[in-house]
Amino acid sequence: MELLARTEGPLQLVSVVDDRIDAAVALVFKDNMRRLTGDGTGSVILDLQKVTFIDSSGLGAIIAIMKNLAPDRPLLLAGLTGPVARVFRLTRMDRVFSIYPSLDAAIADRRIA
Amino acid sequence: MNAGSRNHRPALTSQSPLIFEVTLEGAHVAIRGALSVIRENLAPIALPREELCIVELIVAEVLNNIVDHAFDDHPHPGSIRIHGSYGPDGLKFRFTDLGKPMPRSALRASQDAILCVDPSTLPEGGFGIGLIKRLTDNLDYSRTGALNCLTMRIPVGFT
Repeated sequence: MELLARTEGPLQLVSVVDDRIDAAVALVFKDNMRRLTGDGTGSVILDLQKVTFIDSSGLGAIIAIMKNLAPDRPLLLAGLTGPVARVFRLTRMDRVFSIYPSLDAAIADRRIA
Repeated sequence: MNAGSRNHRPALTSQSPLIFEVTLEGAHVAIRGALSVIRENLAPIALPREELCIVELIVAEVLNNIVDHAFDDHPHPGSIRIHGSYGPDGLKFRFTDLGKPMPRSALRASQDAILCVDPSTLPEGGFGIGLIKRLTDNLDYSRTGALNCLTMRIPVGFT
């Protein structure tokens, strides 16, 4: 489960490199995110533009990551592809998360905020 | 075959349904491979990409549930057999395994009423059944002897 992390000002950006977040990688994904975000501050933007498949295990992992970062560090989601957006919509998690069409849109929004 | 048309579907009749079977080990590591084989088996009906994604999601959720619950605590999980068919009455799947029975309450449960709650209390699981119920028709579970059997219809294709 490959993740690329970088910081931009107060923001931490994490891009998922794999195209699937499923039961086979959900635990590793959660652990890697915890490790990568362990000693930072500020919002975390999770870039999902390369992900074309997510199942409920992957969704559960993202919820766990969000809860782990709360309350000090908001988790924003960016670049959801159609299949990923569908899972968030059908489970109504699209109303729980801040979702942006792209990484740039999320960064721009946070800069203003 | 008009491969250039996204909407082209072979006119399958009751005499020529597409039927396939896939058997996999009841373990998470086997699921990606099984999904890939199912995609290959469905290639002749040329489902639009979006519908294929829905099929893949449903099958993944069913397999996750079987691995997590029917074969939970099994040191040597058995196999899962998937029977798929596509004909005039649509795309149908039957999943069978010899794992533990599914509680009757499982198909009724879903994570629907979780809006407006404190995010720190959000569940991190239990979404799979809700997705399956939302995306399928005629979902039915039966237990015959030691055999679990879950059947469903997926409203994709010409149906």
